[in-house]
Amino acid sequence: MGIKVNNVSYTYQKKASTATLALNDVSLEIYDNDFVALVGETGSGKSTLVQCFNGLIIPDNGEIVVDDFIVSYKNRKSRRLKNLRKRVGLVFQFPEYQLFEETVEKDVAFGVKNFGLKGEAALEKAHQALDLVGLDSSYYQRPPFELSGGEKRKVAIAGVLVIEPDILVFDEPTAGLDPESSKELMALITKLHEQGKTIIVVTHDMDLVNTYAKRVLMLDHGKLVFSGTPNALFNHIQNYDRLDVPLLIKVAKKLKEKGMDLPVEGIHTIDDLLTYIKKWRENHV
Amino acid sequence: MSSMTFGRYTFRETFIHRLDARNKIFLMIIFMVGIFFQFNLWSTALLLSGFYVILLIVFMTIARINFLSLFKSLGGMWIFILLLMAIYIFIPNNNYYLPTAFTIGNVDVKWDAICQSAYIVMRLVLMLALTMILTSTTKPMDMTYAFEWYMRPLKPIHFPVNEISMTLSIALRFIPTLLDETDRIMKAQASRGIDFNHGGVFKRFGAIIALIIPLFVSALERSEELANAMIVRGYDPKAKRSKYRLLKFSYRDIFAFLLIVGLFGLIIYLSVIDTKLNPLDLVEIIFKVKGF
Repeated sequence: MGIKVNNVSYTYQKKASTATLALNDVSLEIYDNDFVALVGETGSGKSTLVQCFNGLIIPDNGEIVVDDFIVSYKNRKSRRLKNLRKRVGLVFQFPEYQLFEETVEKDVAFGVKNFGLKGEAALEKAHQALDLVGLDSSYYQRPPFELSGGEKRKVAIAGVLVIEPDILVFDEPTAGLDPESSKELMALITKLHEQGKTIIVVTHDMDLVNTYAKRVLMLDHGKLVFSGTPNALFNHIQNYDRLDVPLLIKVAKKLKEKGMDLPVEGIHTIDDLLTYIKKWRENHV
Repeated sequence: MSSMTFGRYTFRETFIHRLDARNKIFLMIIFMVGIFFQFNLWSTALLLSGFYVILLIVFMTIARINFLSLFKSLGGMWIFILLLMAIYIFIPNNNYYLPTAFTIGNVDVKWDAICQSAYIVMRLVLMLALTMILTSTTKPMDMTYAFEWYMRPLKPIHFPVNEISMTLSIALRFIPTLLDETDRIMKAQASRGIDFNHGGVFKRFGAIIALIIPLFVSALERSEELANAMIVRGYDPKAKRSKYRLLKFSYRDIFAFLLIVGLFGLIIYLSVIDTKLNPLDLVEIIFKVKGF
């Protein structure tokens, strides 16, 4: 399932003197089973845009089409918005702050309960979701507030996954996590993508974009300024000093300058780089 | 959260905005006492109420406060007002001067009851307007400084004045942060399928729990972090602190002070006159106290 965004604009605090145009005539499309990274500086409108995707923010102008749902100012009071949230799951930045139940399984089951599932069936779903994020049955009965930061985040993500949305939006999923947990989390997101879900990741991290994203969208002051492959973006942002080219690409470029023959555009992970270096060494020993 | 705009400070450069916060608080209290003065005669009460209404309209115009926001804030008070009316109308009372307005079943509804409840509601609205003038023209920080100033006489008896004013100013500082946080958590829970706007009482109660608990957790965590940060930077509640902003009493304040205090004197005078017209009350009390 994809998302179509047609000429969407949104202004914060419309009446106040501090009114800011968060989204300015944005049009874009996210395809079925896409893996999109949404990048841009702080305040560029990324979070506003993704909150439009499940109707938490209703755009002033334009519309967002998800399957047969239309989010627009005209249908802002629709009760169907709740059902849209079953299709588009939004994992907020620092989602661990949304935990509130007394046990992990109850907290995760909360989402499905809101959509009508009851008792054992809801817990069953919760267990599946916890299994997906890699928390075993020893966690089910524990209070979520006693868990470590990384575990809390997993529980919170399970709390969204349990609804089984077709489109998953992650707002800065790796913020504040240690490298190991980040890797685990990105592996989970990749797995979800392979299961056929459409993934949208809001991020600052260009390394993450390089390694995982199929497509990148860049916002700047509420406008869509770039849409294309990660490699095209890295060529494009050479002109932007505030966005950094991923470390791997930098290393590859330096190596190429020194005369090593390797394709800069084909390097997405450390393993890729290692393979090319090994190959080069074999040829030059 | 845009609905919580009642009485929020808005920056303007008006006469009332520039008044000293201490002065404003004092005058507001005086004015409120004046509003809640009881009069024996309806004529005096009505006359004065009309005068208060005009005066507050003038004040609000000077301070450039939106009248609409005052009436909007009354929206939530309707139930209270209706309850008050019901109590006044249906609870019997012997002191009726005016005729019956109409009868519901076998209950006589007197004009007295209607007037009395309308009078109370009007005084509540006046009081609301008054607080709104205070809060929307005074910076929250100035307000805490003013409270601190008023609490100074309590220092010799070891009342923790500094601590309380610091707590107050921190609490005020974090209101917008907590509102943002509320907004964020509401959205996060809405993404998990909670509908805060539709559904029955029971469902909504559940929704509130899903909001309150995370809000408390994050507020407590935040307060602990803040306390640690303050300790690390050497905060000592007992230490003598200097201030960046000083409260200043200017000619404007003298003018406002004289105006309101003069008005208050007039009200007291009127209430005395008012009682004199009912010959038994005040005179007798005074003479009894003096031992005649």
